[in-house]
Amino acid sequence: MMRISEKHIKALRRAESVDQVKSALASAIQLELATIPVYLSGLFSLKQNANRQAAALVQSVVVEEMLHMTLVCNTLIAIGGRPEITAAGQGLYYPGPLPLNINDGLQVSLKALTPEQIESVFMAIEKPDYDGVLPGEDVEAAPASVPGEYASIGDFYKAIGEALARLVESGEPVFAEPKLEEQVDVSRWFPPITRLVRSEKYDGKVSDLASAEAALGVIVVQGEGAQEGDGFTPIDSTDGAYAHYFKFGEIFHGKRLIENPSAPSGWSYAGEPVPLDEDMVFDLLPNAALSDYQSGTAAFFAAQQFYGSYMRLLGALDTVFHGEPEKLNDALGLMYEMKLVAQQVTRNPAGAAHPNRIAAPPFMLSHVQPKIGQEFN
Amino acid sequence: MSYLQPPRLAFSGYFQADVSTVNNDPRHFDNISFEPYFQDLREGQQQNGWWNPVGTGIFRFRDAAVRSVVDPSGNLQIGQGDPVLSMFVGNAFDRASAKIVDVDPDWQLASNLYGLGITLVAPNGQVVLRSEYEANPFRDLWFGRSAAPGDSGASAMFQSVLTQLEWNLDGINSPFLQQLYSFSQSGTLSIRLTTYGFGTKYGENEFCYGKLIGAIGPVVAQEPRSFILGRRFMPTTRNRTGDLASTQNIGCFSAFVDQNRTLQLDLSNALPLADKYLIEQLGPMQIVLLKDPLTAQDDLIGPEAYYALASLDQTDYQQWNLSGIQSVPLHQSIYDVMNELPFALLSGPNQDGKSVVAIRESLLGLEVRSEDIVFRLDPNDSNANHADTTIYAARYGQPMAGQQLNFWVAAPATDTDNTPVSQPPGTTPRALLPVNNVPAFAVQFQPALPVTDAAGRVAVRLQGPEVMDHPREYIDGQLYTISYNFSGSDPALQQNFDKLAVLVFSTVPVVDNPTWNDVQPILQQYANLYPVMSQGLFDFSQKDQADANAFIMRFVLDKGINDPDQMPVTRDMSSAKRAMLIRYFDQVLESQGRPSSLLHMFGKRCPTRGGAALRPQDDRAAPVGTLPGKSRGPNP
Repeated sequence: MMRISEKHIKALRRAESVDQVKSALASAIQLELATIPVYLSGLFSLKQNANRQAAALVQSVVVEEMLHMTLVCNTLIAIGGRPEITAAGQGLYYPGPLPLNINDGLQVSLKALTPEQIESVFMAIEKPDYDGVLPGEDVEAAPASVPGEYASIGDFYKAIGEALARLVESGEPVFAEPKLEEQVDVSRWFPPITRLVRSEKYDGKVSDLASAEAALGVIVVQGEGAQEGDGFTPIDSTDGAYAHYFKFGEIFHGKRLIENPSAPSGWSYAGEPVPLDEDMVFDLLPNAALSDYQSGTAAFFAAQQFYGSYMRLLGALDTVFHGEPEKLNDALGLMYEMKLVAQQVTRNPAGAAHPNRIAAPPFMLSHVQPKIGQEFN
Repeated sequence: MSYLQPPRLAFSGYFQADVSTVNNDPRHFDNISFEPYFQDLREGQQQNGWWNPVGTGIFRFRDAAVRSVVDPSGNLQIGQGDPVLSMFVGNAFDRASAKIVDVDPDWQLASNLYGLGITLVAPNGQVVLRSEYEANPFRDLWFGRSAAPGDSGASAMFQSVLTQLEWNLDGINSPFLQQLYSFSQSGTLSIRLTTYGFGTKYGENEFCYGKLIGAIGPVVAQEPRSFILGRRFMPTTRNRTGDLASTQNIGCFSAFVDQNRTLQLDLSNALPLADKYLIEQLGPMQIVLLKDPLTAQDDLIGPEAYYALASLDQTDYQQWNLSGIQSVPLHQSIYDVMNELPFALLSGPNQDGKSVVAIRESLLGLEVRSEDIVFRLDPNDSNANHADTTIYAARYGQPMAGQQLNFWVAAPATDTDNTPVSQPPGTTPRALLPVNNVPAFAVQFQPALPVTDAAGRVAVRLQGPEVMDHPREYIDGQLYTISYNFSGSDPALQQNFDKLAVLVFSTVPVVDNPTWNDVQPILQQYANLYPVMSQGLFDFSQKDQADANAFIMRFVLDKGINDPDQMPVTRDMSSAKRAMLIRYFDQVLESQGRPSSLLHMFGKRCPTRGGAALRPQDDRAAPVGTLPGKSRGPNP
C-alpha cells in the first residue's frame, strides 16, 4: 500500500471546511489515475498471444484502479465537488513521484513489464504498510515506514471519512445535494463487490456519511489486503482475489501465491507457474512522450493517434463525471480503442534516436514537466 | 443549397482508413476452408489476408485545418483574416473513432462511415462546432486517378449532412461563422469529403493514411443530401482501369449555378493526379458553355462554337486550399441560355485556335440519381425488410417532371475482382466463388415504374422477400446490384458504380435458448475475418473466452448501427442472428449471476475470476468447504 506523508493526514484532521476535503479527494483522483499509465505501459508491452496470465493479473489491477477512481469521483460529486479528469491526467509526469509524493517520492517510470519493473515500481507502489513478515516473504522486511512521519493511503482515506464525519456532526450541509443521478452506478460496469458491502447490487453511489465511508472502505480493502489481529491476509475481501501487491508478486515470483502453513506468514509463492516470457515482451521506450517520435514517421502517427485516444478518454470521463454517467459506455469504447491503437504503436521501432527500442504508447505530450496540479495541503 | 454554394468553408488534411482486409476476399468467409495464414500479411504473390489483415476499421481525420472561406456574396478569404482560418477540423472528442465499413464483400465500392463526429476547433482548444456526419457511403469511386496501383490510385467523394449541430461561438469574432451559423438554422449543414492518395504499403509512414479535401456549406431541404443535383459532367470514354474518364483522364464531376449566378465546379475528385498525388498539369484549359448541345467529347472546335467563361485552374493550391472548387461568375447572357446548353472543359486552343472538348455535361444534360445507394433488407424483421429512398431527375440542373424510371437487376455474377489467385500453388482459397443476384426477383420496387413529380422527384420503396435462403452458402444472404435509369430510349449516362447495392439477409429460424453450438459458427467467422479483435482483444470463437467476456460481447452486439463501438461485423449480421447472440450472452450472464468481470475486457484470455476462497477467519466469507478452488488460493 502506498505511504503518504503524515502532513496530509494532519491537514485533514484540521480541516474546517468541506473545500479542504474536496481538495483531498481531487488529489486522490489524480493518484488513482497516475497508477494507470504505469500498469498499462506494462500491459501494452506484452506481445499478442503471449504472457496471458501476467496480462490478466495486471489488467485486473487496472480495472480496480479505475473502480477506485470512480468511487472517489462519486464521493467528490456527493459533497458538491467536480472531478477534473483531463486536468489531473495532463498534470502527470513520468519518471517522477506520484501525486501526494507517495512513498517519499518514489520515482515511477513507464516501462515494459520486466521483473525489475514489477519489483521496483509496481510492487513498490502497492506494498502493504505492514511491518510483519508479508505473505510470500520468509524473513521480516525492514520497517516500511518511520513511525509518525508516514501513514498509509488507507489512513488518508480514513482521515477523509473522519473529516466528513466531523463536518456532518458540526452541522455542515455536506451531503445536502449529493446529485445521485450524476454519479456512476458501478454495478453496471465493474465486477461486483458484494462480499464487502453485503448488498446484492452495490452501486457505489454516495448520498450520506455512511455511503461515503462504504465507498472509501472498498478502496482501502482492495488496495491493502487486511490485517487480522497479529496476522495479515493478502486477500482482498471485496471479491476474494488477492490485493494488488500480491497479484504483482505472482508475476515477479513466477508462481501463484498459495497458503503454506510452514511459511512464516502462512503463505508462499509456490503454486502453479505464472510464466513471464521476456522474449515475448516488447522492449518499449521508457517514459515515452509523443515528442520522442520523429514527426511524419509511422511511429509518430500511431503514437499521435494513441495520445489522442487517451486524451479523448480523459475527456469522456470528464463528461461522465460532469453529469452524464451514461457516457461511460463511450469511455468503454475508447478503452478498447486505446488497446487496439497501442498494438499499432508497438509495431514500430522507436526511431533512430532510440536504437533497438520499440515505440511505446505515449501518455505524455512532451518532456516539458507540467506544473503539478491538484496539490493538496 | 449545399456545400457547393456559399457560405462555404474549405478544409484539407489527411485521413486514416485502417480497414481490415481479411474480409476483402469473399472466400475467406468460408469457415471450413479457412486457413490461419489468411490472417497474415500478403507476401509477394501469396495474397494471405491482403495488405492490412490487422485493420481496426478506424476512420478519422489527421491534421485537417480550415484553408479558406467564401461568404454568401461569393467573396473568398484565404490564409489570414477571419479567425475561422486558423481553426482545425477534427472528430468527436468523447468517444471511439468512426468506422469505415463495406455493405458486403461482394460490393466494396460504396464504403460507409459510421459514428463520424466532425468538430471545428479554435487554436485555444475551444470547440466551436460539434456535429455528426450522417452515415453515407462514398460515391464516384474511381481507381485510375493516379498511376499508383490498387487502392492507392483510387479517389472518391463522400457527401452527406452534418446533424446535431452544437455551436459555441462565445468569444469568437468570426463574421464567416456567424453567417454559416445563420444558414444552419434548419439544424443541418452540407458536407463533402474527397479522399485519395491512400497508402497501402505496410510499414510505410503513410500506410492507411491519405489526403482529405473537405467543404462545408448550407442545406436546403428540397435538395438531395448525398449528391449535387446540378450540372453533371460525364466522360464518354474509359481509362486503363475501366473508369469512366476522359481521354486526358478527367473523371466525372458535378457543378451547380448558385444564387449569385456563379458556376461552382467541384473538381476535387475529377482532375488526374501526378507524382505525390498532386494535381496533374494538362496544359491550358478553359471552362466554356457549348453553343451546340450535340458537340461531343473529343471534338475539335473553334471559338465560334462556345462561350468562353474562364480558364481552368489546375493547381494543387486550388485543390488543397479551395477544396478543389472553382467559381466562375456567369454573365447575364450566359445565364439566359445555359438551361438548354452543356457546359464543358476545353483543352487548348492550339496554334490554329482550335480546342478539344476534354469533357462535357452528359448528353442532353440528363441526370438521374438515387439519394441512397446502399441498402440492407432483413426478411427476419418485417420492419427492416423494406427501405425508402428518393430518386431525382434533372436536365441541365432543372427538375424533370413526369419521367418514368425503371430498375434492372444485374445478371448472376461472381466477384472476380476480389478473388485473386495466389502463388505458390495451393495457397489460393479453396472455397467456391459465391454467385450474386440469384435468386431473381428477391427485391421488389414500389412502385415498379415510378414517375417523377413536378419537382423531378419520386419516392421509391425497396421491399425484401418473405424468405431468403443461403444462395451464397457461406456468406449470409445475397447481394443484388440494381441499375436504375429513365425507362425510355434516352437514358442518362451514369458513373460505373452508381447502382443500388442491396444486401438481403438470410432467413434464420428463431432459437429460443441458443447454445454454444448455435452461435459458434457465427463467432468463428468473425474471429477469422477480424484478427485485430480475435487475437488483439480475446478469441471469441473459443467458448471459455467468449463466455468470460459475455458482458462486453453483449455490449457491442446491442449497439446501434451508427455507434462507433458496434463491432464492424455486426453491420453485416441479420437482426435474427444478432438477437440470437444477445440471447446467448444473456444466458451466460444469468448463469454467472453477475455481470462478467471487467477483468476480462481489456486483453484477458484466462478463465474467469471467481470461485475464490476466503479464509475462514474472515467473518464475511462463506465457509471454505463450500467454495471451489481452495487448494490453489484465489484466482486472479
